[in-house]
Amino acid sequence: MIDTLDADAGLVAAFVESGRVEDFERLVERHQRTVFRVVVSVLGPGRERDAEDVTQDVFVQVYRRIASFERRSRFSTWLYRIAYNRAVDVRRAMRARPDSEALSTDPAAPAASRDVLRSYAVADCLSRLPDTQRTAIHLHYWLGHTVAEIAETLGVQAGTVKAWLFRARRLIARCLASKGVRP
Amino acid sequence: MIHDDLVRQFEQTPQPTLSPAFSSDLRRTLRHSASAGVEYGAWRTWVLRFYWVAAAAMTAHYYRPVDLTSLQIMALVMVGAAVTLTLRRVAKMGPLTRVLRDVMWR
Repeated sequence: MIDTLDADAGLVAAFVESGRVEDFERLVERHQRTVFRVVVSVLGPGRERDAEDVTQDVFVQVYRRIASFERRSRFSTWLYRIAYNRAVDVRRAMRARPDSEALSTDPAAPAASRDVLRSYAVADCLSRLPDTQRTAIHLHYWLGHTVAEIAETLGVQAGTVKAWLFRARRLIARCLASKGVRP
Repeated sequence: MIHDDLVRQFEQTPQPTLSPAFSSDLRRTLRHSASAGVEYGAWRTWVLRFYWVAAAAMTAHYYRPVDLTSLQIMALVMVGAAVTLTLRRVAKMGPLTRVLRDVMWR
């Protein structure tokens, strides 16, 4: 961990001093995968190509603004926070949600189609969660991150992540109940 | 129960991966940005700063309810700068502000 921090600090200092794009590219190589995962966890499944565009925007933005990095936090925390905020803005601009009106749950439907409808209902309920809770759910259940990893990536306490996951599950249960889907 | 639903929901969802061309595309964009963007960014910053300095100077020139000495004007400028810096720091979006905004957006 210390090596990672030292390496980031060293690379940031080298880039700020030299202004050489090659120095910045080394920072990109180290963090592009995590930035992409943060962005895709905000945008959700099926938005991978949009997430790539946002990831690219984030690095261009950071390239231009790195002088404003005040070193009060770790570089990675600052970078992932920018990625999260940018992805939230993009998602709000997209405003893409599954059509919940079309999702009905007919008790007489065959089991297989009930599973599909349930899956749609869960996806719809997920899309209605607050950004922080939905991101935590995606990082945990989709991308397989532990609570500690999510906390480190998003720059919050582990207890906060646990609370987000707990509240998200509770909201999903209520949302499913309101759709007539048994939790 | 919801936990099981979520596990089932995402075990069939493919893991997202960066496309093979991503790194080379980003490298090209960064190099283009390096050659064109830096000078433009600095220029834009200074234009904005000049705008605010000019606006403050015009206001001070045309709207002067009481005559102030140079020392008083300087003191006012320093207090104004301190207030502006404090407000900028306070207005920066922290985790609490973001949570509040999330709640309002729901």
